[in-house]
Amino acid sequence: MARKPIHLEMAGMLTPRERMWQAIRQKRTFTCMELQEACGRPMLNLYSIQDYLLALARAGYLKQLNKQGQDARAKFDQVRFELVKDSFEAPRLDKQGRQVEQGTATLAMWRAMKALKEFDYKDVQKAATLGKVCEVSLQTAKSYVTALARAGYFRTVRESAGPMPARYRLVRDTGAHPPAITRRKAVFDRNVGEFTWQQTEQEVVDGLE
Amino acid sequence: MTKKMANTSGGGVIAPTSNISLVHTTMEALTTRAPGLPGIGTFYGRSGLGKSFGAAYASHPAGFNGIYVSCRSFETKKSLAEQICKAIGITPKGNIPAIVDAIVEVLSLSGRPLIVDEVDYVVDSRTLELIRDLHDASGAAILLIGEEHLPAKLKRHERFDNRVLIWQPAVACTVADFELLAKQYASEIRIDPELKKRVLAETQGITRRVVVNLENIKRWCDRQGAKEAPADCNVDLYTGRAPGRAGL
Repeated sequence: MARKPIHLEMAGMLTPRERMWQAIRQKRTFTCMELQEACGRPMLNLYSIQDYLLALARAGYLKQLNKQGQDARAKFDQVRFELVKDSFEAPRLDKQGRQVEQGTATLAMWRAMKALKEFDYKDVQKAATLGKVCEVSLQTAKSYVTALARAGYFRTVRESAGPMPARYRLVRDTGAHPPAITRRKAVFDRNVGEFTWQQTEQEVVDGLE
Repeated sequence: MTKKMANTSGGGVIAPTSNISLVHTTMEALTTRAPGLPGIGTFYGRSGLGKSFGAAYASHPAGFNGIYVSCRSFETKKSLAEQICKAIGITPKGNIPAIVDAIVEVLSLSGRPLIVDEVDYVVDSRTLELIRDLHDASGAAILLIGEEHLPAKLKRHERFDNRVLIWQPAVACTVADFELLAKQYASEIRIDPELKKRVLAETQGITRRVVVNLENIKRWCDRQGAKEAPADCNVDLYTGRAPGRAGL
């Protein structure tokens, strides 16, 4: 491993996990505090950094260079870590260091739209479902496709008519990350870092009662 | 391999038709090939055979997790490299060599295969060399998807030709595929065997047309309130042929 790895800049807005991972790949060896510093602003919670580092160590991505003291939390900041298993994407792990599959369905639908070119929500559901590994319900696919349609990602190829659902073509492929539907039912696209659709005040009022 | 296919059976998934299985086997062979073997595969056939569903299958995040890009008629080396960056999620910076280095880094680090759709658009231009360069530098598996004349066009590039490990044509809808599609698109209706034969013959086994006809048959049955589509039901079969000149 003589060659210095190329610094890859991830596109779009990064999640805390991705910010940590990018800093880890840059520094190679570090302590928890050094990493917090390297992650920049807004400052990340030290406990979330610790949790992620321990998970990465359990999964074999990091190696502890020295042992930690008796009082785990207090002495944790003295532990040095080294990156031993590289990966481009920030590993998604739970505290035990197991792979987390959450969010796969949305990503699968977003990618299916790009590959299918012209689709209705049923096509998206079929293409995004992969047996037991990734199950997408018709309802999920329908609400995701409808939300993106409202947010202006598609050109309508055929309006819906009776039982035939509307057919769309993806015209605004903003990037690798699937646009997210937030709890406020807004569409947020972190590829470009903006809300691409939000309810108007009137629509919120109309929904009351 | 059999395990993965078993997972895709059942309702509400991509019907594991012949073409999906073919993509699966091709991707499996490319990603698990012995060291020293070339890693480019081609999947080609007439439009409407279900190649796009194959592409979606190969780029599914929980499956082969391929990086999907689709060529356009005006694609240049730089624009294709930028498209790949976008699909990976990195910001392209600098000149083409710098961008290509970054892509190679990600490809070899992540082991993700690259799926290039609509290759016909770049097959006559020097953009094709970019794909070859990426393959040689990263050792990544690359699946090229295109129309039926793709092999003939690729064979003209000798240096490209001998890097192709698998030439896989997409196949027309078989009787077994028809059954699977019928189960998906019109599960509650029994279709007379004669009608099935007629649909397959009239559509020349082109999956997209078969699906349109299944939907038409289903609508016909819904209108009639019937559970069964007889051989002589008067559904207009969609053949994809341009209408003839109206008789004067």
